[in-house]
Amino acid sequence: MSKLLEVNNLKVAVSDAEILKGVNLEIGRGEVHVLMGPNGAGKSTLARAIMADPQFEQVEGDIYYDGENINELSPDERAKLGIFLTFQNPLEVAGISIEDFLRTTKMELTGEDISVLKFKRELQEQMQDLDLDLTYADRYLNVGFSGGEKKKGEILQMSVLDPDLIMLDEPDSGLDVDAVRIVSETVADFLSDKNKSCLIITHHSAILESVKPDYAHILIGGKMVKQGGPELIERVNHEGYNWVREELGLAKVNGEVLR
Amino acid sequence: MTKQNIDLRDRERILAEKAAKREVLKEARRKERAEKIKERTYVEEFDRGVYDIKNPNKYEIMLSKGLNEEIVREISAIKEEPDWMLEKRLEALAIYKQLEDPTWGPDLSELNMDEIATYIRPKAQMESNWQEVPDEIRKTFDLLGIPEAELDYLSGVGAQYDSEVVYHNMKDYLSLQGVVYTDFESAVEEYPEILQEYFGTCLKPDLHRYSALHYAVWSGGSFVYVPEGVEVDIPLQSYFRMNAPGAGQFEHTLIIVEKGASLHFIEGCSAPRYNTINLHAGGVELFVKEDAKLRYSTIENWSRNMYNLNSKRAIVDKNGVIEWISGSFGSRVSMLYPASILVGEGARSEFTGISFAGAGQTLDTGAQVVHKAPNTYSTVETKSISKGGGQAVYRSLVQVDEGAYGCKSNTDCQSLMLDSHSRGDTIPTIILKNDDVDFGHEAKIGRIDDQAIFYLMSRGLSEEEAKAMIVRGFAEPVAKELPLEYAVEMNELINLELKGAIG
Amino acid sequence: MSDKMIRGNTLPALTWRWMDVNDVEIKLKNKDIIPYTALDGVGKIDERMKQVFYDLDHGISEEVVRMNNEQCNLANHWEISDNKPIELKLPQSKENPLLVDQNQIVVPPLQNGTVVLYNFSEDETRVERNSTVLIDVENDAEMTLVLIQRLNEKSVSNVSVVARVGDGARLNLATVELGAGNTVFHYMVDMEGFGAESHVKTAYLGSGNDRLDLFYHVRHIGEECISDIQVNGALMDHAVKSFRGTIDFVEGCSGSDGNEEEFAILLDDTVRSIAVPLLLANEDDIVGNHAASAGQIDDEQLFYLMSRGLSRKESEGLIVESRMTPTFDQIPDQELRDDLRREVHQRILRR
Repeated sequence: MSKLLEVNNLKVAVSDAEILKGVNLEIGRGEVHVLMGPNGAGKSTLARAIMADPQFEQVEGDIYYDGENINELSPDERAKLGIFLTFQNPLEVAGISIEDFLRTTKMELTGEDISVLKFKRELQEQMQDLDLDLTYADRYLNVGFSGGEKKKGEILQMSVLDPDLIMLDEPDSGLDVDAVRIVSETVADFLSDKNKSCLIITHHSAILESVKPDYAHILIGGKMVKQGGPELIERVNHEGYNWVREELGLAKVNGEVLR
Repeated sequence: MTKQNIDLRDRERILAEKAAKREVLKEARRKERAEKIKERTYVEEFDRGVYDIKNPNKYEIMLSKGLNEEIVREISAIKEEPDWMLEKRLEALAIYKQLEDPTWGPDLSELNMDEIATYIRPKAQMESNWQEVPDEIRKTFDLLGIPEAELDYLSGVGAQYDSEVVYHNMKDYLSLQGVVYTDFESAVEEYPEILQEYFGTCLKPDLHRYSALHYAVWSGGSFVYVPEGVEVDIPLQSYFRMNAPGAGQFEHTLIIVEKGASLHFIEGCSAPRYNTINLHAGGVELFVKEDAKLRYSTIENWSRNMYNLNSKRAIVDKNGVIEWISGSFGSRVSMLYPASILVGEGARSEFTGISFAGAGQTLDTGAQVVHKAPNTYSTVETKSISKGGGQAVYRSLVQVDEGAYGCKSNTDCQSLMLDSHSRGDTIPTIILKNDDVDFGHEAKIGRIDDQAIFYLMSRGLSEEEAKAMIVRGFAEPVAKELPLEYAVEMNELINLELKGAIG
Repeated sequence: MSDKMIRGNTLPALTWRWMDVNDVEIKLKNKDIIPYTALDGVGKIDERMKQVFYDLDHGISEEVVRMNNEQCNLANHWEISDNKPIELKLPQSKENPLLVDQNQIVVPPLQNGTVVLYNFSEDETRVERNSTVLIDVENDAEMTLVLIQRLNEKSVSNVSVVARVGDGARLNLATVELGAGNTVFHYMVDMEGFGAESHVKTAYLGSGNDRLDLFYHVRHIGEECISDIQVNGALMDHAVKSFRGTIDFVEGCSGSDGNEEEFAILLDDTVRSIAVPLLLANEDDIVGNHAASAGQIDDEQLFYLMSRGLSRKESEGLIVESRMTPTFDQIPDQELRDDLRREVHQRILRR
């Protein structure tokens, strides 16, 4: 059975500067992968490139989703296939309520009409799971939201749109302790209930308490330098990345701050 | 404010209550302000008015009023110019006669163009006397610590010995690198081919009345030529060039920086420049070639009777960079809008400027940038300060032409008003002719934040010192771009302006 | 009558002539006196109020005011009370090719009202509209004026709004420009009272060969006045927009705060966007701010919406629509609001 996501020798540049220098990654169905690496390694870039972020240029390599080469597909086409990326600073769109937005995008995705009432009810359930006030759905998309509300909003969108491959970029940042717990549980439930795949960019997220990773990857300087099991995560948490650099013969970095 | 269906009686009562509350609030605010005014250190400005120029008849025979062909020919003859230059002067004169003063901007009605004729005769200029210069000007030199040798230049008279020597040394060092730096008259004689090719092509005589005038009667100025690839590592300063008669009024500066070369040119000085006639209509033409870089710094500080109507323009080629650093002080009226025309792809213009308008002054300054090629970039950062009834106007244009794709432009202009008698106006124009542009413009007007003053005072500074510090901080973006001596002088100048100690 | 070109909306502070932004050409050509039959009756206005306001400001230009007086075919004088919105539908068509209306709104102290004027074309005939609105918001009163313009792209719309705001009073103005090949809009407000406020929101969409001139002159006269102008819109095809907004702090308006923001989304490389955001200050105890920006839709924003499955054009439509929301939200009629949003969305999708 082919993998859900296959990235082969991906080279990505922005304004002529090469950020990803030939990255390989495979994610199977139902697998949870963790992507680690020092700042500037290109982790977010990889996730965004998989989502076809226009600011990056795919210079070389291929991305396959469910066996199909998706190099030429635009972000909305990839979304419709079932790929989802959470944004650190999601766009504010005044004039459309969360509820309207979610219903509209869901209809786009499924190509079917959805009853307003039915949707409202389902949405309210999902909002309750995330401990969101019911008035949240009436507010304009991301307008005036706190960091935590934005993050939860992204997770709510994930629940509603029901993608098969989720990419979470630093899911913890900006959340208070309670929010972290709720988000983690929601994501964990979502993944396990429906055999979803997940790529989490982090090394120390509390989310890893609830979502058990299957594989870990380390990206340094735009290259995937190490792949292995979850034990890699522990090691990075304790020792940073210098041991990896040493193995590869790269210069060590002093005083590296691991967040 | 939410209002419901209100009963008539209730309405009257509510209105009366609101009005009463308002009165109380108004009174409180008025009292607050009155107290602040008492505390403010309003220093009496000297009542400058227009300087009396004593005994103008001391000079050569007065020519008939009005600028005419005879005078222009005389100027050309005295300078022993080639025919082509005389031609250009006469063409400009013809244009000048047809143009009117602008319909917008400061009032120029008191500028007496007839007087110009009398005073531009080179001989007249040379004989002006140091004794004629008002005390206040001379005092400023002391306060600013300007050495004796430079005083003569700054007061518009004769030769300066020390500068002369320094200048010659600089000239030798430069010529080793192939850099040409001469006064403009010499350039006309020694580099006719280059001059004919460039003179009057960047800044054109028909731009406005005072550029036409400039081209008819120009005198003095600098010519700088930096050959390909040469990076001039010392800033060139214009006051070394002030030997030519008639200088200081209508000097013409022409700078060519060839491919890959770079130069920093500093014009002017922070001490007030006193002239026998009250008009300065200079012209500056800058040619920045491919991959070249030019930084053009000016501190203009004219005496309070002056009309400073200057024209400066730069044409920038592919990947070239022009940086304008501009401080405008003094003068009675200034109109100054350095313009960058970005004709080559990837060209850049960065403008940083400050202007300070005190009592009786109108400083109408700004910048212009025209993006004519794709992927060009511009920034404008200006600060204007107005005080004691002074009027500071920021006037600008940013234009992106059709076909100039991928351009980025950002403007940030701030106006600080130091009291309620002053005026601060911002009049920007933005014209975008294609959609692939990233453009932002921000402007702010206001006064010094009381909280900021309070904070500094709570650290031991007097109110006056606190204000001066804040204003200097406001001017810092300009100060930090200048060589240290100039930055120091500029700060001193600001302090003096704040105290009202300058004539 | 001569056919000399009329110019109007002259800037309170002129600038370089060659840029041609000091004023704008007026395209009203119809000189006839024609009745307006879509509503019953013509109505009457208060002549004294007209004179008082004329002395304050001549609207777009004296010439346009003269035409407005001579050709007037509809007049309204409203004294606001009871918080009931006044909504007028003003269709134009072959039967009504010319609408020259004079409207006066007086809001007595403590009253609160909303007036909506909705101008639209019923067919493809070129029509002209020359409207004036005078507003007097008295002490502690509040008034919302909503002007929606949806004439067809051959038509000409000229509107002059002149207002006066008293102590503690507030004027909200929402204008939507979604049609007319030639739009000239003029707003002048004197905030005379202590703590007076003026809040303006404008949304526009220019397409085809549309020309829009949006002129605002907000004067802070009384102390502690607050004003705000927000203009949001998009331009496509060969549309040309000029935004000329002036915040004017008159000496004595201590404690006043004035803001203007203009954001233009440029959707085709053949559009033209001109902005002259003036800040004039003769008073130091004030805060004045303006921000203007223009450009294509932000890539990051587009990417975000597309990553949720919306096509590129749909995402653009949503973004443009969302920018106009603060203005649309001022329209009391929900159906009309939705209809306008749909139109904006459709026009972006179709381009």
